Amino acid sequence: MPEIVSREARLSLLERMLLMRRFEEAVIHAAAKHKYIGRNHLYIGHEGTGAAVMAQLKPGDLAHTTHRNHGHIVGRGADPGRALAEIMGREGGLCGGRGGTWHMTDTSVGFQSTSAMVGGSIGLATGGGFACKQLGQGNVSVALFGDGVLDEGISYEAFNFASQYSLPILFMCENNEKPGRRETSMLAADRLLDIPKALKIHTMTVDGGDVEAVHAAVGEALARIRKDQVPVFIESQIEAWPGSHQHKPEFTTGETDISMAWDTGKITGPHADWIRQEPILRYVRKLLAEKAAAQADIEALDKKVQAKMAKARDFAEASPFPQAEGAILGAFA
Amino acid sequence: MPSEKMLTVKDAILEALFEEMARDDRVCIIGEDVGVAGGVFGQTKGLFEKFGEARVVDTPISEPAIFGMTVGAAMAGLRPVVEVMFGDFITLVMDQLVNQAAKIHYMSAGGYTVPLVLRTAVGVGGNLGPQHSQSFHAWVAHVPGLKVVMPQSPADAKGLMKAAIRDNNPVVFIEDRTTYNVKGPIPDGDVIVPLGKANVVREGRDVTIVAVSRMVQIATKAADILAGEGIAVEIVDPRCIVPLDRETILASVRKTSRALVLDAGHLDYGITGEIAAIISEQAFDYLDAPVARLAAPNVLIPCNTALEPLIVPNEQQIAQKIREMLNA
Amino acid sequence: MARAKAVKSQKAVPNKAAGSPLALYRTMATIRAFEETVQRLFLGGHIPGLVHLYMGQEAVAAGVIAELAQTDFIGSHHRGHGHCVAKGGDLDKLFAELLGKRAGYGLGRGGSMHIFDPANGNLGTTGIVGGSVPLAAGAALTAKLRKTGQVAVSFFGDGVLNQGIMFEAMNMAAIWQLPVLFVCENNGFGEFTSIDDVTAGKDIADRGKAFAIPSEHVDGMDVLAVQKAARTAVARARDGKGPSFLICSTWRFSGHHVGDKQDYKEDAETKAWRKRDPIAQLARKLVAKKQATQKQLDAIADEAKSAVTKAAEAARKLESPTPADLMEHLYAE
Repeated sequence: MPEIVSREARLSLLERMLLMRRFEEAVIHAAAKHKYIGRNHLYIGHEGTGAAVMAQLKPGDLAHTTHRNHGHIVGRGADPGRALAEIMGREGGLCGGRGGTWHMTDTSVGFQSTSAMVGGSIGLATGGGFACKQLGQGNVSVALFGDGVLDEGISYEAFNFASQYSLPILFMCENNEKPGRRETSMLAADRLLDIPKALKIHTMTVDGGDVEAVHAAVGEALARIRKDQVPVFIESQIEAWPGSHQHKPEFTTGETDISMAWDTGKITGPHADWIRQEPILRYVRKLLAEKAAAQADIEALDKKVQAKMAKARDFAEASPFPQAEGAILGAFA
Repeated sequence: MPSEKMLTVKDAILEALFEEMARDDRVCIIGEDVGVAGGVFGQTKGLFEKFGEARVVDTPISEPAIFGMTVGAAMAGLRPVVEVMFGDFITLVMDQLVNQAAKIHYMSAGGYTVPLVLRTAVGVGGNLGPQHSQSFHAWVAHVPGLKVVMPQSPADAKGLMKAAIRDNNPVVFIEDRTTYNVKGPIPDGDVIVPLGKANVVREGRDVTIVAVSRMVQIATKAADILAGEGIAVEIVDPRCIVPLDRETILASVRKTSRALVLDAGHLDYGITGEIAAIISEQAFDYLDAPVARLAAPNVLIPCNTALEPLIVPNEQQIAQKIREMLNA
Repeated sequence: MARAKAVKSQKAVPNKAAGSPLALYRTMATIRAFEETVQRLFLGGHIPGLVHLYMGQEAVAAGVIAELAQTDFIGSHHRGHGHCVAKGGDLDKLFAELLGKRAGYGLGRGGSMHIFDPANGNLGTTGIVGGSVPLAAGAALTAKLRKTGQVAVSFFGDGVLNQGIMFEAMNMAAIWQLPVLFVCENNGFGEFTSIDDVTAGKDIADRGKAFAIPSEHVDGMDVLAVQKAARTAVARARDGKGPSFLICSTWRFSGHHVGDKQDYKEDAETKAWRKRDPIAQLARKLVAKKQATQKQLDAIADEAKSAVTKAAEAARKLESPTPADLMEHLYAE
């Protein structure tokens, strides 16, 4: 299924990736400017996966995510100004500034949950799939999670349930582990996919740095999920951003300069290897090579996204902190 | 005191681990990021290098089984210190903690002991939000068969950790991250602080504050404020909430005739209610005012600089409450 | 991914006589007699609470435990009397515990689902599905770290297959190459629900294989087959080669608990399984191979019966715990 052919669709995909990237850069700027900005796990380098998923979800589909969630949320269509305000703890934030980065949700765009606890969302996503099936409106549930979730027993319980009850769920694993790097989170399985396979879940692997490949895999998976009402597990292999384990957001690989796609001489420094293959520049190079866009188109698109983010930043900065009285409200419905 | 060195709470606990691991080769450390990484807060730094991977065990992110295995390892002869990274994650190990660890000694009529320490870090104040800030000390204190330790000073933290490791029961050792960098003197030598023995941190005649963990430090600030107004506050730090040193608390209240109980955890059904009830039942005739309580409101803990400071009672609120008690 | 190196541990050799076919017959006959007596006592109102009988599954406990030394560990489950007997449990103390007498393993306070026998390495029966799986793995961790040469066996029912904690424990046992056997006693039902209704995947063994744990199916009604599989797995564990997963197919003759009418089982299926009664099956084999005469076997069964009857009768006369026993052993000294 849906190979991307139209120029508009391809540029729209790139725009979604750029929005994710520029959003994270705004978070880094805000972190530098303000005393507190929380503990963030930035989505930089994952855009190829998130954009491909979000581009293909329908309005009624349910998404559930994890601590590395910013890209998912804005990629799905949440207002970037309100998302940024949430991260900055402002009243205008998506959750009134209470949840911050780790608990950001936007139910208006079908975002059910973010959980800062490893494995915290996968059970919810499975329940979402159960609801989708029961309600019979053709919607699917998506669980986005990192490879560490497979250490948690709840993921097995969820896979078993999803498989046995044939639930329409996309288990989207963003695997940014390099063998040997993730020292303390360990899986005995030789291949991550052996686990869902053992529970009879259809599995696929895809290069997470190639957004169109992810798009094709996700498209195929979603079609299968909707048609057969079954779960599918996709492992998207991602080359981790060198800054992905930082506690305070910083420009580990610099602010993205889109012209590096055609002016490769600009790529220097200790992380040049990562920059060379990062999903956005890689996609731009592909679009240029296939003449789907000209340099000017790309620059215009980036400008458009940057302008959108500038407005978002203004909104977030202007939004006040919540009133103290609000703190004790909302524990119950 | 010239012979005493100064350490932070975090390093004091770490020193206890070093000493206990050197003293007893059955002591081992199990948990996420405790080995090569040295702990996410640096709380196990250097143990891996000194004692090796056999005794400082990095685990997958599998809290229920990590803890369950710790229980089995303890039954089979180890004395493990298992770490649950954030206090909120204690919910993930509740089954093995409540239904296995706490019950095995009793159900085996003493045949098995389960000598382990579950250490976890809590603490409102890092803007870490609802899943990384809550403390369930009242939950675990409610379970017969568990001991619950909540240190505040470096010397106590070290001496209590040593006692917890040497105890033959499952001990839940709750550290408050906001105290981690508090510095204080550490006595020389192998000094144990026994579990279940309260400490009168400050003596005073007018009112007793009962507080554990970080609340002792906040209470001390409040006592300093009130000292300037001529009010002498006595602060009793039970140090363990199970076993609870009732006698020291009651003796203090009998002396001052007024009691304020503090907790950084939630007010409703929390430890302040338990301690207030004990005082009311056993020292009622000595009281000149109702027992008062200040604790966190029953709400989730927002990840927000404007809202989070409203959770834990501060020194101004404590001072004001005591003024009201004295004027009543 | 970090995988522990194989550490060869010292030998702890099981008693050879304990593993002879006649010894296996005696163990199974003792368990059968024990359970029949428990059933009678329960129906007579002498046993408080609930009891889950092991009748039909005797070959699993007898076959596996015959390969263990007294110092090796087992973790049992709610249907655990068979394991307790096979591991060398004292019949007097077992009946005392079941009957709520002070002389029992737990002062008569625990009953059927809380029997602990440290002298024989029995880590306990448990009322929590999957509760003892990590305990056995943890005991194996101790054995490995302290190089004691001990092996641990985790017995669990098919209901545990869907508990996350089983996967977590298997994963860690595989990473650290712990000397542990995971023995699934698959009797087809978790409480009153068929395993087929709730367990995903083509083959249960895949769940172990996903972690690269040697996993095999064993005829759990054939004690010699169980013993053979256990011998290989125990040897592997003792040699520092890590965990094994044995799935023993079996049948619970007396339902989930005493009083279970078993309306959910097909009569024909039950009849077929009954024909494969592990005790009668072994007897037929031994007589056919002239390794024993029926008379010899009957004598063994009679001895077992009378030992059990004697213990049960004696236990009935014992004293109940006193009120002072209520608070005993809440904390260790």
